[in-house]
Amino acid sequence: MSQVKSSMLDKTNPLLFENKWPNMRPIVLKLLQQECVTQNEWHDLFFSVHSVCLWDEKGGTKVMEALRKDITDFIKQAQQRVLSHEDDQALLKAYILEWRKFFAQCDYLPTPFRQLENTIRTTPLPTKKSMKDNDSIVRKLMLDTWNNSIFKDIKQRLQNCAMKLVYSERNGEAFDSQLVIGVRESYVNLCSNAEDKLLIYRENFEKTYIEATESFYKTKAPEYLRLYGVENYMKYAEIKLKEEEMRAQKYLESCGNSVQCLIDCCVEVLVSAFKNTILTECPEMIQNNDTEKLQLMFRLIDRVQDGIEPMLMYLEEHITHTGLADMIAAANIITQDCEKYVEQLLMLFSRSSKLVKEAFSNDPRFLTARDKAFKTVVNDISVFKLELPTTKQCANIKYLPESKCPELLANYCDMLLRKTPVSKRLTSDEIESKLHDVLLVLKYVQNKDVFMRFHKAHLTRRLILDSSADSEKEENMVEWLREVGMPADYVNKLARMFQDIKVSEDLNQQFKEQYRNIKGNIADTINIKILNAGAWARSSERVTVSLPLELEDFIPEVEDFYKKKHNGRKLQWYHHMSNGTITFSNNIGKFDLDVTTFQMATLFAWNQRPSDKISYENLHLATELPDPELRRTLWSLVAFPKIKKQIVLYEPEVQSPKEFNENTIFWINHNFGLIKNSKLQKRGRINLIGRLQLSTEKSQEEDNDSIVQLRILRVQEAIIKILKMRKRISNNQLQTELIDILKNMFLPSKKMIKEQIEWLIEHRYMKRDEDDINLFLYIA
Amino acid sequence: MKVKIKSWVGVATWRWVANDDTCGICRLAFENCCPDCKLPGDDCPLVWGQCSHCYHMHCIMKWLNSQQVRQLCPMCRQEWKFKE
Amino acid sequence: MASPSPSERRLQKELSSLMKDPPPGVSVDANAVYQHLNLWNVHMKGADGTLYQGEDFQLQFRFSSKYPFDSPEVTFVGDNIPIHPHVYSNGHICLSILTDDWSPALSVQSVCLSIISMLSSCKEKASTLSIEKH
Repeated sequence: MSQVKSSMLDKTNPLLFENKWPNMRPIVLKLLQQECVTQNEWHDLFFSVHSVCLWDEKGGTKVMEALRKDITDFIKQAQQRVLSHEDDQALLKAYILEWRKFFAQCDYLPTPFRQLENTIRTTPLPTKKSMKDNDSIVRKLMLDTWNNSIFKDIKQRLQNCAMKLVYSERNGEAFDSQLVIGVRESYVNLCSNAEDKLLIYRENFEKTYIEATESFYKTKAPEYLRLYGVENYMKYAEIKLKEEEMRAQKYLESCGNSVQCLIDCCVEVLVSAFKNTILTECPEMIQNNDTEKLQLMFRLIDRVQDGIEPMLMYLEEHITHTGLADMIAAANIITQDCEKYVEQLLMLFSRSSKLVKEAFSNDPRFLTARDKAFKTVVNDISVFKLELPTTKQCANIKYLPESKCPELLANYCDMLLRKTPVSKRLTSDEIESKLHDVLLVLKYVQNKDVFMRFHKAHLTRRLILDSSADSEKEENMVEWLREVGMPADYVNKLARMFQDIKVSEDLNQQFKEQYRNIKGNIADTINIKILNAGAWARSSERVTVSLPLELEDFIPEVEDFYKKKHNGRKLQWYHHMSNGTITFSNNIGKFDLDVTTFQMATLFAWNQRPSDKISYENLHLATELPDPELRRTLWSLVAFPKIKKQIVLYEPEVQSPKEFNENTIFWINHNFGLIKNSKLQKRGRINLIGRLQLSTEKSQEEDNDSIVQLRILRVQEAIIKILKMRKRISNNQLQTELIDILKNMFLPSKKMIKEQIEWLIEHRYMKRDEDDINLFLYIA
Repeated sequence: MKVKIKSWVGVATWRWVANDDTCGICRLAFENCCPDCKLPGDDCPLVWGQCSHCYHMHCIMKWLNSQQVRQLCPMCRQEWKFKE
Repeated sequence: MASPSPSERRLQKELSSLMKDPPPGVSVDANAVYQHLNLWNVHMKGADGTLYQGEDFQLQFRFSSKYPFDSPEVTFVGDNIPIHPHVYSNGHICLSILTDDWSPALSVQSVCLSIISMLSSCKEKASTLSIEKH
């Protein structure tokens, strides 16, 4: 091929550059000047370039040289046209006009010169595929020449001029935005660096634009703040941020992150710089419930990294502080009245939740801050302290004081579920919604086990005394407790309690049918409740009592009946929970008294000797009640709260049941009667049961121990469970997982966890890693 | 003065009647459940053999299932038959 | 206790009852047992009025996780292995309740009593069994 080529090398060869160019040049000039080119001319140009490159060894270079000269000439002329304008805006206008024309041609002119790529490219070619039109060397030549012969000289003027325009726009003057856009485009398109197309744009235009913006607001913003104050300033800043964002979208290059950089800069200069000044007003706004202003502040400050941290803190502090202050202010009322306490908590909750919703659109971070504050208030111990535990046996176990909230919540629940003035006053829907409120508060309670215990005790009383207001609601409540994550074994026991009551009802039915004919009316007066010891009872301590004769006779019949129904089972009576109604007649009239079986047994001691004065000692013999139970029962008969006339009288007077001695004398008050509207009533009904005793005095003390013991056990169980699964685990991880497992029951203290880990290590359930004392290993 | 019972609610819990207090297999009290159960009562019943020995149902079933040749009462080694 | 398995619960019960009310001449090292509930070392004194009077033995009980449904592995260990027709010189004991006649109603206590009575009923100290594997 080269041989052929060289043989044809001849000055007269029509395909040499020198011979071809004169025909090509006019077309090139037409193209540069945006004049019309015929299709033939266009095609000729392609052919000529091709021929020259093929037949003239130096054709390519020569073509390039000639092109460079003509392009330079053309640009020189353009430059003269542009620079003839003194006025900046006119200059800008002229430049953009010329630039747009020239730039349009950058897409056309290079096309016929494609062949040059192969001929003179010295640098290694990029792969064919990635080579696009705008990579062509002619285009590069055009743009570079423009850059060198016109742009370089006036770019500073152009840029300054564009920035001046933007400045006047910021000050409210209208102008042709295309001028600024044109300048930007020439910056973007002039870059011939294939690696980073936006290099020139970024280093010049973007940089200057951002600097100009920054310096604009550096002057304006503090002045505005000083003149109009924080509230107006926040509005100003928000409007300006929006404005600048829109302006940036117009004037800055959309690919790349120019707009974001500009916004960051605006946030910095408009918000970050005044963050502290703005935030100082936050506590007062929260205090005044200025939701609109807070909303505005939130939107602004949230643009700053971690900016809202102080707002979260203010909110948490506010809720905690007002919550606790309200509690302390109302301490006298709410410590007496669980309804008021729960209502006050709920008011705090709804007030705070409303604030978080309206001011912070329920942003999760603010919800978390609210929840943290709720937790603090609910578990606070400055107003209520739960007394735990009491006996010497547990004296060596140090425990941290806990909030009494769960106990009060359980009491409140009881008021809603029992037949009480409160539950009668409310509609079914109201009760349901209040129960849900309780569950909401319960969510924040750390010692949920205490709630569970009290709730179960109340439920036991309601079921034994048939005092539930609505049995459907009772059972719903059990399911709701399950839904909010109360431990399954606890909820199952509650469900089992209802089941026992239902089974007992059927049993009673059968029993009555069977015995009505044999025993007569007495069968109808008796109801039995047979409980599953595992679900109900906390202790199985038996209390002796000498029952009234007719009951005493009846007991074996019931036992017999049950034995036939359930082979292999026997009954153990829980007379401290048994109760009934007696008719008490005296000189005044006839009264129905709801009493415990112990009270019944005590009153029956006088049945055969109504006028006798009986000593404590003899009552002891007659009732066979253990000492503490007899004292307590007698006290309830001689000093029942809120009644004018007591049913039993005694002497000498004492201040507490502990002071009764063997010789204290008791007798029936023959003038007992009920007083209503200061009138003595001859008939009536009174409930002397009060709060039904669920266990004996002794086992009550043990109850408090058991809460602590149970927690210890639960911590141990949970640690082993985690270790069995993980085999090895770090101290921190163990603590986290432990709290996760136990949080629905109680929050174990660090100290308790530490002690139980030590115990388990000592008893070889686990050990520390030999190299890392913070790593625990499971011992199978 | 006179007191008369109008109505009475008697509360009792039930427990198993067995010759022993504890199950001969797991050694746990009958009033509690077998070591595999959580809640005593209907779900963890006791069963009696014709020999009149009594176990947690779950315990004796475990033992009987482990015996391939003859099924004997763990206490008296008589052939185990459930009492009706 | 942190959720012990059924077999551990039963062994704990047995341990406390054995410590409270041990058969005559039998004692157990409770501290060692607490550390390895499935491996017990039981000390046994030869009963007065028998051929083994004045002798001290050590029994080792090894329990599987299926205890009490599986029998424990019981052997004499230590320096003094009783010379007895049913005791191999390596300490293995030939006693039917430890194999085919095992019952879950048996316990460490009843096994100890059986071994004491096996030793006590021996009329002549002779080892009829060799070390050969049985």
